Amino acid sequence: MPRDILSDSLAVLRIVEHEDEENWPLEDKPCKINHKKQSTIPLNSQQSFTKDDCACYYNYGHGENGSNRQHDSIFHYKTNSLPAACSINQSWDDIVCSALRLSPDDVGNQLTLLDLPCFKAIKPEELTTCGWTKLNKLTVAPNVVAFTKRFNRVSFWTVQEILNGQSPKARAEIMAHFIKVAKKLHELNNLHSLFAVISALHSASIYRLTKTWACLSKKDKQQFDKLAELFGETDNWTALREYLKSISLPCIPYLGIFLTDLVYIDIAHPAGSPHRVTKMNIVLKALERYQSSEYEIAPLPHVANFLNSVRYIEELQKFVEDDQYKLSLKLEPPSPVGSCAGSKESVKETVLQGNVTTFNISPSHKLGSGSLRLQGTSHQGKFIPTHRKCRSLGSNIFGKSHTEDKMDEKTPAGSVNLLDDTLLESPSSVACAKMSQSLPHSNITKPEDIQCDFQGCVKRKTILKEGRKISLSSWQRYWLQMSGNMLFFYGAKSFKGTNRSDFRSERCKVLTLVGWIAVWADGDAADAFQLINHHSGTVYKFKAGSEYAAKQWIAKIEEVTNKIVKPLPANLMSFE
Amino acid sequence: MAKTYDCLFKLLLIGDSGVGKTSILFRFSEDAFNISFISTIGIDFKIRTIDLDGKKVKLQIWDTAGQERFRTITTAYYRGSMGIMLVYDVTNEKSFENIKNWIRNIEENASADVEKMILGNKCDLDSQRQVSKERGEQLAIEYQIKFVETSAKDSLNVEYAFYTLARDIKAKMEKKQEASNPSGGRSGVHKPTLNDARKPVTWLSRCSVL
Repeated sequence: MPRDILSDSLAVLRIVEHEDEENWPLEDKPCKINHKKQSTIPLNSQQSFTKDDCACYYNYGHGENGSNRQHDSIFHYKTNSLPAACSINQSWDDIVCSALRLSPDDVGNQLTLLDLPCFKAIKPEELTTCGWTKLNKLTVAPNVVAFTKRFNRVSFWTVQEILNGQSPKARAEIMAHFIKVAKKLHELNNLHSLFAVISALHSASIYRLTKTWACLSKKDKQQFDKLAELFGETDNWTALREYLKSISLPCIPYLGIFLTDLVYIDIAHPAGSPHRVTKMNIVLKALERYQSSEYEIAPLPHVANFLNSVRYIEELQKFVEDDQYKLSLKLEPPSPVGSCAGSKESVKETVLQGNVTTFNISPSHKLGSGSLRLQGTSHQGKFIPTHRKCRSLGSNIFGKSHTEDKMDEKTPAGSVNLLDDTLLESPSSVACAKMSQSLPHSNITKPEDIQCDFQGCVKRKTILKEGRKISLSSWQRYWLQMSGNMLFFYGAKSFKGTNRSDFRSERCKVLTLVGWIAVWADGDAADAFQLINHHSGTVYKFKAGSEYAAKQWIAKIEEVTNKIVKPLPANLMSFE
Repeated sequence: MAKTYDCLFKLLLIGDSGVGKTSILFRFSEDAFNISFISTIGIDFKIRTIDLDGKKVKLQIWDTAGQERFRTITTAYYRGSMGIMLVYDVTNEKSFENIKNWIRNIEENASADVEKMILGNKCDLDSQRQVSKERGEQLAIEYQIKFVETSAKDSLNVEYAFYTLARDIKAKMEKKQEASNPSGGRSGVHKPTLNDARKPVTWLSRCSVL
């Protein structure tokens, strides 16, 4: 694994959890080299790194949520640490350790060693009472809760490590590393942490990183898909149940399905019913068997310390998730058109008459199939169902966020090599990127060619034009016609009238919906909505005549903007 | 293999642990009390086929029972889901407050056009009530989602909730199918059948995060 990646992935999630058992001070972390010597396991890639054998991390920055931690008793020592992403070239870097510097085998092994005692500590009483679902879970089911926390901790850590990669390539490399960790966990039958890693890659923050997934090698993707298949919930977790049956000890199972079974038994056989005990015992027996697992793995304290340092405060989980999602959006901004809501797919995917929908687990699959379909469909009216991920891949061309603004100006649309961000050729679609100017009608197809998707009488006022507020703007009446992703404006013939015949037959303005979003005009008339182009800083206000019509317009425009895609980058291969 | 249904909807039950999702599921699903299926491989008891306007609609209900605390409710979990029941417990304020978090989770992970419905469960326990019906309604209006109070115990409104959600999904699908059918509905104004809950405000605020 190339080491240069370290320069931008030194950041390590460190969320400290004060009530936690292991209480090692942050400051004395540099683990002694002799840890290595003690170790009976070859240290693989680490041997070439004299600075590796230490585990020092800084705090995970909570951004604006930092205030939540004021009451935290360990807040003080946390403030010693640095916010994420500023680790590079700090004086720290000679003691900072990163997940990438640890071999996947070591990580997998040590995670397993940490998981095992936690799993073994779970008592039958915690389970039979379904105590973990109760309000007093911490007292009646402490070990179930602790084991769940371990799961989430691994999952958060994985997400954070990946997000610490500054470029798609760097992130893909970290992702690949974690897929290798997952593979090791699979070999160890540690399905608990395995699922934690898989879930991390399936989380909203990671799953949506189209560019990152595109940088992942085919082999790694396949590996990931294969592992993820185990955790499909189809048919009552059949894949996982079958697999559990097929393997021998040692094994740390994914506790979740056992918990589900117990909850079902609890409801189907309320206390006092004759089968309750028998049924529950079957589940407990199975778990007990797994709890007798022993692993012959030599502990590597520096790795374990490193892994243990990854904590999170459960109460702040929401904020951690939020921050991770925000970071994800910042790293790979969604296209402004209709993709603000994360990974998308459509209900349309299922045909009404239909057969059973097949659920494709893998984002990489989706990427493949999506990209195939996208080839011919960009800018066409018809919606082709794909995962939003593929579409955003297609539409990031217009991804004008503040982070990419400058680059976008220099970078012709669609021309970036996904592998190394180099420029390819200038595509013809650039013209399209000059979005949403009002064009003279002569450029466009003749009126009779236009298919109309939606139309009606509206009044329009310009609120903001290219960032400038329009103070003397007045309401203009137009017949507005929507066709594909175009809006056609027809000027009024007279001062009133809301029928088509009251407006001219030749259009006066055309607006391409690329880059625009339609929203309700807050605090305004009920029939008012706005068209906003965040990039050009233009806002038009419309009055549609009725609230219902306004709703229709918003919905129609959203529908169109949701399916606008850009042509695929020339070098994107399809893997199916 | 003969198909015993015309269409299949994947529905999710989402909400904090202990709000009674599983009770709702058991109340509704056809094999609810065929308990031998609980951990049986290959058999999913969380299904029920209902009749909607002459169409046999198979509802496949996914439930996170007991697993709410694991971070496994990811994009993969939401994939393909067409309807989501957001469940809170009227005797548990926290579970009500968390509905907003769940909605945000859905926005991040699920399809934008997934049909949603909010259920205030355990409304039979009126003496322990912490969340009034009005607050539930208010929240539903805020998000433009349908809302009903249910009692899995007394079998109140459970059927109604699932039928309503299924009907909304079916209506939406039919509308979409019509729209994507080139022969119909292409010219002129579309028939206004839109009843989906758009949330422009949220939508915009999310964008401004960029």
